[in-house]
Amino acid sequence: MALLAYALRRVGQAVPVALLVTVLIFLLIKLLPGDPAAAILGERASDSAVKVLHRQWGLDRPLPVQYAVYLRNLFTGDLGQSFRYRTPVTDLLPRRSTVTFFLVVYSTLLSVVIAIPLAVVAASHPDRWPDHLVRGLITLPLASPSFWIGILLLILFALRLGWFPASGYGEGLGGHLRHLFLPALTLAQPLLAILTRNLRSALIDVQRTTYVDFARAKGLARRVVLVHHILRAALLPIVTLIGVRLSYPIGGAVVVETVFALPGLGSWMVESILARDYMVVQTLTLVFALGAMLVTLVTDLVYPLLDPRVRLG
Amino acid sequence: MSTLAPPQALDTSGSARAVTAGRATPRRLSALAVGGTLLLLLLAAAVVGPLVSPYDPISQDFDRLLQPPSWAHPFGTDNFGRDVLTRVLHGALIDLRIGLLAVVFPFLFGSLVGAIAGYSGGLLDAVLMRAVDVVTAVPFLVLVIAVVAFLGPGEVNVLFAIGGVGWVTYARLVRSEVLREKGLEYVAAGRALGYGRWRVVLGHVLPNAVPPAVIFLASDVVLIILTTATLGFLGLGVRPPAPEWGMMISEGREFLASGWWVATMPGFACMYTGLTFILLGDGVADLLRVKGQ
Repeated sequence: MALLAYALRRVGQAVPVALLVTVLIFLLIKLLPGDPAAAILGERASDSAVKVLHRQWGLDRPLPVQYAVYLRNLFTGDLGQSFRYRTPVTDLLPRRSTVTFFLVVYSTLLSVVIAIPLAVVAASHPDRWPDHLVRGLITLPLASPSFWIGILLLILFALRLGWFPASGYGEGLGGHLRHLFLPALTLAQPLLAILTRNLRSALIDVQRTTYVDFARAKGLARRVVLVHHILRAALLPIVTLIGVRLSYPIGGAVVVETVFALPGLGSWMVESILARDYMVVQTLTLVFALGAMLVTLVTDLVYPLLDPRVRLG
Repeated sequence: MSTLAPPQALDTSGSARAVTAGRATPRRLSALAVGGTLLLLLLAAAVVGPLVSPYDPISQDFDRLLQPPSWAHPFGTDNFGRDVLTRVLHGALIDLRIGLLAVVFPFLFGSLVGAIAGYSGGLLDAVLMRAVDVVTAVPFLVLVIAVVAFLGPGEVNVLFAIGGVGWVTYARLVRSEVLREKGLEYVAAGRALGYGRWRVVLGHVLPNAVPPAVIFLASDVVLIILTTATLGFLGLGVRPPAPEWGMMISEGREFLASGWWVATMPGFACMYTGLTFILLGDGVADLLRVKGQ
């Protein structure tokens, strides 16, 4: 019962923020220098075309009315038109978001799978050379632009060694996993670094607790203590951390999809910016924002289920 | 604009000296000292390099297209026959200038908003903090890219976008500190002396509330410099043919098979700069934490 009340309250907090996010993103179009209709249609647009767009978008009406129209369109599933493709945004959205969704999930899994052994190695030898090596390794991606790391991986593993394809999304699950491996690895870098760092210090802290001493004193095997006692306790806070930091890979997808020419939301956003397809840019910004908010919400809702110590007041 | 760089360098050596004078552990000293040395080297290379280089960063030479690294061209040449090393050195001042300027505005604006929200409380606080929530809800990079997309590319717009999005973290940090400081005796004392509201907030509370924001600033510099390069890579930063690192990497993407050095070399400069500021940030953070205790 307490859980349900907590869930309702948490959702109740998210809704007004989501509404305000739509206000923010609605206002983006006001940043366009000069007349937005002229900016969208280009310099050679005829006056009548500009007028038609004004009426179509209600640009001749007061700002609050324009926002009301925008919001009504969103709720009725009208996410705007792509000027470049001459189709509604909703036509392309499902295919494109599948790619980005797959990529973000894949990279999150990769960062967890790589971070655990790295953190275990580092925490088993604190302040010795394996620890220094791991900490050095995870500092490099934090200091480098992700698109550059992607290009290095592309040159080495796709062009030189030929182990992975250089671009595209592939066919079927196996194809996706193979095609998206390098992009997912690139995208995983910042999250991987943060997870490793935090998991390392969590592991060191847990190792010092009395129940771990007790487990060892009972004569349990090192592996058993590590997996069942230490890792289990240290991994819990990591779940929240992933939820909070998932906006890294979501934002990073914009760049990484561009490097690897993946047909996702991010590369679509960049293409639309360069083609001055502003409505698509606006809608995609909203999609990214709501996606990130949803992840945070779900993490907050799931966490009390995972950690029995959490008391919901 | 290049005048921004030298004071930064002086600052670093100044704090390094302060560490030696105070109770510094060798480790903290080394992070600041190594970071400061790396920064001095970078600045020296950025200032001296272009003077001694026999090549021009912009003008094209069609007899030397896509030449691999050699003694004459340590980083090779690009598809217009320009010396990549010369362009990377010229780019240092562009990337450092935008990155360092871009971090100043969010810090100042965010701290001010945080101080006002925390001290005034009530409706103003609620409104300002909802604004912070909203901007925080959108992934940083996505919102920065979207703002530049609508404003149009260019250095000033990049600064505006990063400033307009990045201030929220500073506002949050300073606000929570101000809330803590507000109840302390010196604030009541200041009021009892008849000081005005603003004098107390800006003159007394803010200086005490700002250290956590400075610690965050020290690590934020890296993210902002990388964001600057990212915008350049996406074609939203300064215009070509300016030798901005991100844009150079982007231009080199067409020649990954025939000239890997065009895209990779500027990235090493980025990584060097990133490491420099990570070290400096760690050093500054440790220094301030010791002072705060």
